[in-house]
Amino acid sequence: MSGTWPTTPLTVITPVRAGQEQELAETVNGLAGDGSPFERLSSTHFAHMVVIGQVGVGTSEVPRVRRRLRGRYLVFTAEFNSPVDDFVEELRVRLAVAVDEIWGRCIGYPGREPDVAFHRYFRTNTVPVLQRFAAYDATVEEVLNAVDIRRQHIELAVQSQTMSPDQLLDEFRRRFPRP
Amino acid sequence: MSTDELLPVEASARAEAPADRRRVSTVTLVTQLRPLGLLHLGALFALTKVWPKRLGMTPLRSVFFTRWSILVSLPHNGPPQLRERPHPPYLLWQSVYSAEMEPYIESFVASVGRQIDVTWNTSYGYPGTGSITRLREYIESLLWCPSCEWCAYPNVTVRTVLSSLAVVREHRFLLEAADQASPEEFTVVYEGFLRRRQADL
Repeated sequence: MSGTWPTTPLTVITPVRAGQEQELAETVNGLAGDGSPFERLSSTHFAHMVVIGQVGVGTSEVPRVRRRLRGRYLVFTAEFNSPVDDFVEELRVRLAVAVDEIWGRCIGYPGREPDVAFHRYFRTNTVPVLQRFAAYDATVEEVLNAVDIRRQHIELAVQSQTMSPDQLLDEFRRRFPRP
Repeated sequence: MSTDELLPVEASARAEAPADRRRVSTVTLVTQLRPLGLLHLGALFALTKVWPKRLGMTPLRSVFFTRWSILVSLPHNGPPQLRERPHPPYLLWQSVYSAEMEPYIESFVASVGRQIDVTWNTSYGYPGTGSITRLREYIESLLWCPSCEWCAYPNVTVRTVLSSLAVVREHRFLLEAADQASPEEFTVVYEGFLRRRQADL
């Protein structure tokens, strides 16, 4: 288990302003990949955005009474190692302009200032996660560090097949120096 | 036993995916709950909190995170947003995984088929897990494509993360041995580490 805050899920669903769907999609599309503003969120494993609208049933089996969604909604989800309020504050401060570009296209968004209103907006639109599974509980730093250590061990294991005990110990100490 | 008698780990090293290949995908599925589905899932999720293995997700090594929410109403922010109380209520399922969609569904069904049935039998149109093709078609018809998916380690699979964390748990003992043991003693410790962790390397 992570030595800091446990991995925490957040789901926020906000109503998209009518006529802003295309602009929102284009803005959000540009946030993935290298140089994404999400890289500034130090404790975040995953962030994910999707715009949903009318929901189907997948087959011809249809409920007798249906009341469909009348608007479109931005579903934002994330997994991170911090209290929710700290994460939302990171969003506000570190994503900065990107936050305005995203949620500025949603109804009720108060802007990043004052911070109280910003936090209230995210709290109001948070949907409870009723059930959740995580394959592991580790921070982003712990995961990246572990992946690097494993990679080094794979390389060492290959090299070690032709090493004497002295060489092995020297190489191990070189690869994994004590802090 | 000397280190050169150990398993040829270079094979697993070669099997690593290219570093620039994205290994993480997300899926968002929204389904409509049948009558009593709300009660059924409420009870199931409450039970799972008490007995976490009820959903039996632990054996699945291709899922980073998965989560469920029930939407009886959507948060209201005042005009011009209309109040939204979808009927039937929605089940929102999101999953972050490392596989192609079809193998992912297959492994999902193979590992936790009963649990999938227990959860999604509450949704209209759910075809069951008997046919992977029908299940895939059902999922694809209800899927919402992500506009943005970001991951702090996009080139790494769940299996790699789990293996890396397992390696790290033993790595600390190797560090201690490297500080205190003679080269011969360290070699013995190291070979034991390779034997125990060979599946993770």
